Amino acid sequence: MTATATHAPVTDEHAPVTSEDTPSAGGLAGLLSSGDHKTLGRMWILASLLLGGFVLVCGLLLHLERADLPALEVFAGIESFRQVFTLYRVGLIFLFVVPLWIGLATHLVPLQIGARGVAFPRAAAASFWGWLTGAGVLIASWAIDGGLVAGGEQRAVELSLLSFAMVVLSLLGATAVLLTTMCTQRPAGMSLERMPLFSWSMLVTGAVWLLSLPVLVANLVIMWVDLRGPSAARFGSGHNLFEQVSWVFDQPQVFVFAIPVIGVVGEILPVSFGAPQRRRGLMLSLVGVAGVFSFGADLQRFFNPTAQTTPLYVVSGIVVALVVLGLLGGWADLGRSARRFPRPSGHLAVAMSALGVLVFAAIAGFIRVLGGAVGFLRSFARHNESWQADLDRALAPLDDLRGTMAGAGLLDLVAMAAVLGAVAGLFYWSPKIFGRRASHAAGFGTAAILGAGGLLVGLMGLIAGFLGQPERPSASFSSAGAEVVAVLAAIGAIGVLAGLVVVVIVTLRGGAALGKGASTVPDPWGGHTMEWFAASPPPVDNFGDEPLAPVRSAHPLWDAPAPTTGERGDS
Amino acid sequence: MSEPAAAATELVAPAVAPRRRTLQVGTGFAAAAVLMYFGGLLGVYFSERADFLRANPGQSWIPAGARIELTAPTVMAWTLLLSVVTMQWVVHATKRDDRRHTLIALVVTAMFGVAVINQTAFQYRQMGLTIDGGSLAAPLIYTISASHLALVTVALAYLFVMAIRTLASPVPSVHLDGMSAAALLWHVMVFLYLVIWVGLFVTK
Repeated sequence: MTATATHAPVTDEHAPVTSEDTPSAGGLAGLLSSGDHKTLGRMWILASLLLGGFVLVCGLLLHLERADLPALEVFAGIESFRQVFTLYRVGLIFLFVVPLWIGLATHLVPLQIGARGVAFPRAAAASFWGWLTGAGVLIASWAIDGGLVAGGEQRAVELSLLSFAMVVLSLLGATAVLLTTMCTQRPAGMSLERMPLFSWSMLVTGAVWLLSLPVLVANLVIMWVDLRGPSAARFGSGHNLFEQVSWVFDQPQVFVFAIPVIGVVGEILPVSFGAPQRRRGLMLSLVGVAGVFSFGADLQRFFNPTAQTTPLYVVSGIVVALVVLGLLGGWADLGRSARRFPRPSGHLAVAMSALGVLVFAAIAGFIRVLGGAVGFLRSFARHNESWQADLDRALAPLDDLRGTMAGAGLLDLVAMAAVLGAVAGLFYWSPKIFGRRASHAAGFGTAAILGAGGLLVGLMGLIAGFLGQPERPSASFSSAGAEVVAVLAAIGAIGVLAGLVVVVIVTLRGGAALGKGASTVPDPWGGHTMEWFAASPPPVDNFGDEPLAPVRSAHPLWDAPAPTTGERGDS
Repeated sequence: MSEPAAAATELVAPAVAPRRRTLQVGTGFAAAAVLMYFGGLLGVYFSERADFLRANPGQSWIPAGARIELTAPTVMAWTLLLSVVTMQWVVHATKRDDRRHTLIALVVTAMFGVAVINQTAFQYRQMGLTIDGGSLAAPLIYTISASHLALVTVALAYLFVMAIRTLASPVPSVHLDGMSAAALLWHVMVFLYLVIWVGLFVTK
């Protein structure tokens, strides 16, 4: 390295350890005791993908049951259906989407900001193992007749509540480690506005998680305490359990799980176009605005039945849609300064697929809040009966969306956008994660199958909502045409599962290659952010043992003299 | 290291030490999460109490037979307020490498913390409040006060760990970051008790 780094070694007692002072254990012992953020990131990613497969199978079963096929009786009764329904919701977000983002961020964020590791390596490891243990107990508790439903075995339900809290607390621990890393481990010159868009989006997302998910833990603890008594007063009553946590899976909170998609797309597009992002400050601000308006802990329908007609709820849906529109405009602007037309690649295809699903999610969110806006419009027209009647007729379909499958459709769209975004990141940063580039063919296949499947599942949910199908499982479940919609959703769910299988195979093959010592060029795509400065895969301390020189722009590698093609890789 | 990557660093000035106060920042994030956790608990409490009083005008939110005395919570509030002063005394003494004063202030602060745990146990015996499904107030009051009790215990454990690190060091001020982080969590704990004192016990 020829860096002009002349400063004395840093003596920060909490600074991450370097390769020189870390005895590296190999094999399983090394894996279990590792505090290296890259190893932890890989473990988060693989575990969340595997658990995600299990959760998606639950989702498929729900769609098959809703399809009401004559030769297929999936669940024995409505209670089993409710159990799997709640497990799917909880698992989709807390066993799949959130840990997948945390895995990607744990691996990438220190590299992107030029840090040598995470701020608290042992806390990061404890968070992963705590989450994995909690996830195992959570699934087991559901299997032994627990879950957030009425009629379950009381001790199993208590176990479900505690394991759910453990999962959330572990995710919060990992989030706090990431946030601290971003705040304290940045090298000189890496100001917040120079942080790569993915790291910035994780900073915003992590901050909203850190401020909203403790409220979820508070809900769970109240339920658990109430359930411990001889009879539950209100909070521990079976019918109320899932209702108290349902705000996490609804607008506006649900959007916070997809904000990092913006970061991944915002990393891939400028590199594909070979041009820096214009109006970067505006893009960063839009991510921040999306984060602020995704905070939903104050809009709990269980405690405030009119939460979905409050101005904040309506405005949040509109703002998120406008933010997505603004981001699309920002990325379209890239074409004006592009140095080259993007070469088709697996990660670009998956990123575009994620962006497409995210746009549909924003539209779905916008449509849903219009139902809340009906209340406003009625209050404006309260002095004119004729206007009120006209409004009632015109807006009835939107008003009736509340409590229907439209909410499930939105959740599926957001979750699928998030999964696609994370998979795009996995393909894009595969040289750093696995020491080799993921197959472009696999990327194209994933983009097509996972994208189409996710879109189909989400859109069918929306259509089922317009058909008046209720979101919660109930005896009077089906409505006209709902079976066809459910069959199409089941086909979409099969597509999503097939796409996930491809991703798992890519991940396992990448892990196997890494185990055999695979390595590739540091910067195969011509990237501009700090992670492409490190070797692929990076060493334990990421950038070698010398201190990094200060960063002077948001594109530190593009500030360097233009490299030759051979040095950048052949892709 | 690739040539273009190395070239990128040649354009820039020498490096400087990265930011410090890692423990304070990490504790700050943890404290923010703790504040939101109690925000969630208190939000549910106030919302449910308001709904109950609206639906049952003239009735007491606290169930019949239960006694919520103000004496013990007020003593706890004053005890914790005093501990804020002694906690800052710890930080000040650590900063000045004054090992003797650090130790004295630590012991006094820890004693205040243990006294609060003791008083909470006394209050639980005195209240006669049971979680039996008959009252919404009981599970909420126990959840909030027991959560705070857990927070006092965590703050004490954190203080203990930082005390060991600081006092075992030849230069205590090296561990000022850790001690300040423990003080931050302590102050948040005290602030939360004052909110609980007013919300749960003074206004009942």
